[in-house]
Amino acid sequence: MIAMKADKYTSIGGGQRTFGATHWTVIESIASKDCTGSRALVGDFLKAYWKPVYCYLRHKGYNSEKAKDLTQGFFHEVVLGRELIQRADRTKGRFRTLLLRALDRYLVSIHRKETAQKRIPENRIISLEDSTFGELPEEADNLNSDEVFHYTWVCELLDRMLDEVETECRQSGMAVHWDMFSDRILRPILASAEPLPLEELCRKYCINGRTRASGMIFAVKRRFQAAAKRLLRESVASEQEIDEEMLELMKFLAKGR
Amino acid sequence: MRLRFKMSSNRKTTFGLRLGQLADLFAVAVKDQVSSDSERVEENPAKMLRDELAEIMPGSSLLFPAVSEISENRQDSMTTLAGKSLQQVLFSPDSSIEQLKLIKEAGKHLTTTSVSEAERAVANTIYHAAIARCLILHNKKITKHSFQKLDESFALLMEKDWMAGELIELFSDARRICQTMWSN
Repeated sequence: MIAMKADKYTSIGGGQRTFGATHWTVIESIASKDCTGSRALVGDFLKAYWKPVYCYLRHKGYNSEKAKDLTQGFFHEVVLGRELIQRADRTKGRFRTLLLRALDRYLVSIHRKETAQKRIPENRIISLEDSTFGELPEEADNLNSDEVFHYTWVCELLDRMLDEVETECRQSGMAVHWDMFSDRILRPILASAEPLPLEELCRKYCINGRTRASGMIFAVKRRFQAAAKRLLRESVASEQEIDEEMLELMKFLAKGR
Repeated sequence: MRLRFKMSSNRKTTFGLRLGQLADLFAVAVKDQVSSDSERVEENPAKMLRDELAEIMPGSSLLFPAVSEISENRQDSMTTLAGKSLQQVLFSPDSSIEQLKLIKEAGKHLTTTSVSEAERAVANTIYHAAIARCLILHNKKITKHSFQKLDESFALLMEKDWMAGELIELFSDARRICQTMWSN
C-alpha cells in the first residue's frame, strides 16, 4: 500500500446545499423514478458516498482500476438501478450501514456472475479523474475495511463542513472571523501545533480585546456546529437520530486517541 | 438515469489525517465542547460596549455574525447594516423599523450564544437599545414585553456603572414613553 501524505487543509470554498432532502428521500425519488427535479441531489448523494465505497474496495484488496470499476458498477446497478431502495428500511440502522451491506452483497454477486468490467456502463456516471484518490492514506493500515469506509465518509463530511462554513463566512463579511478560527482551531489540529494565543491573534488581526477575538471565533464555531447538524441530517431518517449519529461518530473517531 | 460530475482536483482535504485529528476536528462541531472552551475570557463590559458601538460592521463586530445567522446570510439584511457602526444605526434619524428590529433580534441571539458574562451584558444592552430607539423614533413597540416591564428593564440598565452615557440618555427617554403608556 502506498501511503498518501495528507495535505494541509486550505479549502477554496463550496456550494450551498439544499436543505430538507435526506439521502433516504434521494433514493426514494430514484425508486419512484421521479428524478426530474432532483438530479443535483442525486449528484450530491453520489459525491458523498462514492469515495467511501472506493476506499472500502481498495482496502479489500482491489487495485485502483478494479475498485473504480466496481464503484461505478455498484452505483449504477444497485443504487441508481433501484435495487437499494427495495431493500431499504428506515427503521433498520443507518443509511451508511445499509449501503455498506448492499456493497458486500454486490461484491458477492459480481464474483458469482461475471467480471465487473463487462457490467460497467459505457457512459460512466462518475468521473474518477482525481489522482489523489488513487491510494489509501497511512491511517488505513490501522483500520479494517468497514472502518475505512466510515473513515472516508467522515473525511468527506468534514471537508463539506469546512467548505460550507468558510464559504458562508467569506460571503457574509466574516472573512477575518474565519481566518482567526483557522489560526486558532483548524491549523493546530491539522498541523498538530500549539494554537496561537488570543493576544497574538488580536495583534495579527487588529482586534481590540481578547473577549472580542474569542467571540469572533465562537461565531464560526456555531456555524460549524450548525453545518454538522445540517449535513448529518441528510443521512438520517429523523431529527432525533442526528445526536445519535454524532455520538456514534465520536465513538468511532475516539479509537484514534 | 445518467449523472456526471467531476471531483475538484485541487481541493485540499482532511482525507489522510489521523483518526485522532479527525476526532479533534469533529469535536469542534459538538456543542458541549464549546461551553468548556479555554477561550472563555472575562472583560470589562464598558470597553466591550464602547468598541461594539463604534465598530464599523462587519469588521470585528460581535453583533454582525449574529445578524447574518438570524438572517441566514441574506445579503439584503446584511447590507442594510454593513458599512455602518451600531452607534450610527441606533442614533440615526433615518433608521427604519426593520433595521432596528434586525439589531434587536441579533442582540437577542447574541445573548444566547455569548462566550462571557461581559458579552452577554453587552448583547442584552443592544437588544434593549434597539427597542428603546424604535419607541423614540417610530413610536412603535417591537417586543411583546409590556411597557411596565420595559420601563423596569431600562431602569436596571441605566444603573450599570459600565453603561455608555448616550445609552443612559436613550433609555431615559424611552422610559418616559413607557411610563406614559402604562400609566394611561
